[in-house]
Amino acid sequence: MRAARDSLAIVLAGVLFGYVAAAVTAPLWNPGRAGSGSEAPQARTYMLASLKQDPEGLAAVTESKDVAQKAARLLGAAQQQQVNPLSLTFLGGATEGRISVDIYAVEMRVGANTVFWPFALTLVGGKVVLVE
Amino acid sequence: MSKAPVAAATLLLFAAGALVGAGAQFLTTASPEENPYASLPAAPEPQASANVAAAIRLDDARSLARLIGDQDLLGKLHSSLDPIVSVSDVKFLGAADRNGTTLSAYVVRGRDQMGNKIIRGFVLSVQHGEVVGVN
Repeated sequence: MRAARDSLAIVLAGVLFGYVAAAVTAPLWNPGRAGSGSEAPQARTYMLASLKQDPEGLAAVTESKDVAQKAARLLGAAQQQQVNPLSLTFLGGATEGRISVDIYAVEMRVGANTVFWPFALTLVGGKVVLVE
Repeated sequence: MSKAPVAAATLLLFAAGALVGAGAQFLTTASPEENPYASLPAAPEPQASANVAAAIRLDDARSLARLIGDQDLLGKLHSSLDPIVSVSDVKFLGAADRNGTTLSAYVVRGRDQMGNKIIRGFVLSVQHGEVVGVN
């Protein structure tokens, strides 16, 4: 009986160790192609929704706004010039407490021009609060 | 019972548990949505942006003014660093190059006037060995 209890304790200690070790080392084995550091899923969702001009997708990962700001976002998406994204590259990210920064390079065709533009997203608690 | 088999069994049980734990972490962590667009390969850090990052890290305003000789770009850099007043680290994250323009991304750690830890990101746009844009 005691042997079984000891064995269970050892397995549980291993599970705990494995879970924590995997979480701590995740940024090392899950980097973006060009960048360093782990990519916040919410940041990727924001960028994809932005490129697809999907205001509802943006709202899901953006800090809550009042109704006027939501309406402005819908209007902005409707009036936005037609863009054709060519590439989306994660350059890297970093975290400090609840704040994380994720940076992307986007290549897109806007009308007759091709632009190559960076986007730095600041997230607090998993919500995008600033886009530069 | 001799000690060697007991130690081996203990190690085996611990390793099996660690594998289960790592698997559980992998399965319970949300992975980013699939990127349907192309992704550019990593580019090396341009020397021009590395020099700017070093000047910020060393709080060397004289070098920064020489490296970015444009009031407008310095204003944008100020906005990108705000509200950090004391820089503790500037780290190169990655870069991508397209048609002679390299976007070089950095993260700055430091403290604001109240002493709170802050993290900010900025991107330097480099063309022909010169910093031509700050975002």
